[in-house]
Amino acid sequence: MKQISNSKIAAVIAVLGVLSVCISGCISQSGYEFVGGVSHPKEINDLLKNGTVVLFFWKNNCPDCDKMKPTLTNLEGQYKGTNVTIIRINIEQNAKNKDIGKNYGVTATPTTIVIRGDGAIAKFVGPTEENTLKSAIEDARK
Amino acid sequence: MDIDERAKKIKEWAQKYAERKGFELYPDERRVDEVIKGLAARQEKFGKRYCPCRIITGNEIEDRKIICPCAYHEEELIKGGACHCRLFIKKEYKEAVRGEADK
Repeated sequence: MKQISNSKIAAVIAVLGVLSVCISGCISQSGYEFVGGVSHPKEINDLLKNGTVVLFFWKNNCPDCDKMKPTLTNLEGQYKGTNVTIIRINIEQNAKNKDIGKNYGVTATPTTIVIRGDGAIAKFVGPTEENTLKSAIEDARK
Repeated sequence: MDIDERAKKIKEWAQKYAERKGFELYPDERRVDEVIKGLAARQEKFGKRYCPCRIITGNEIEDRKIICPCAYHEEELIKGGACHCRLFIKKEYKEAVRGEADK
């Protein structure tokens, strides 16, 4: 049987170690990514210069949207006076709001989008726990 | 037809549909009624039973996919046990969410 040298085993272990660090690093970014085709509207770009933007897309007759409103109220309270701007968007209110939703690929409500200062986004579709959103916001602020 | 009557008919349809497909209605009756009310409101406004938690794009072909039962519900039931609107649920998930619904 062909013998594998100790140096080769050490090299494989080292590569696996580097890979595991990289993978855990990627996961800790809360799924932030640059999405092709998404260009942030000017108003949002201006806000991003100062920090993080959270967009909460909702509509009437959407039970989960109503369920998430206290979560949004809590987050708004916690981040008041910081560089985090939270914007609630009724996606069916007017054509402008609908276009903003389309720009971010929103097809269902509630959808919450956290936008990091560099423009990368993390998207949460459906009812989302306060802690999950808070963790994404904190990751964006790092 | 008024909205309550429309909602009643939709609920009857949803129950029969769920039974035929081997699903059940979500165990939180209040939630089911809210979804049904949303479906009835959209049917009254747009003439189609569009899912209340999805966005109408204005593109007829695309929007056909979100008429309840939507094009996505079966896959969502397989993946997560319930559809996005949480109108339909797989039987085996029902007990798991019943406690949550009672909160």
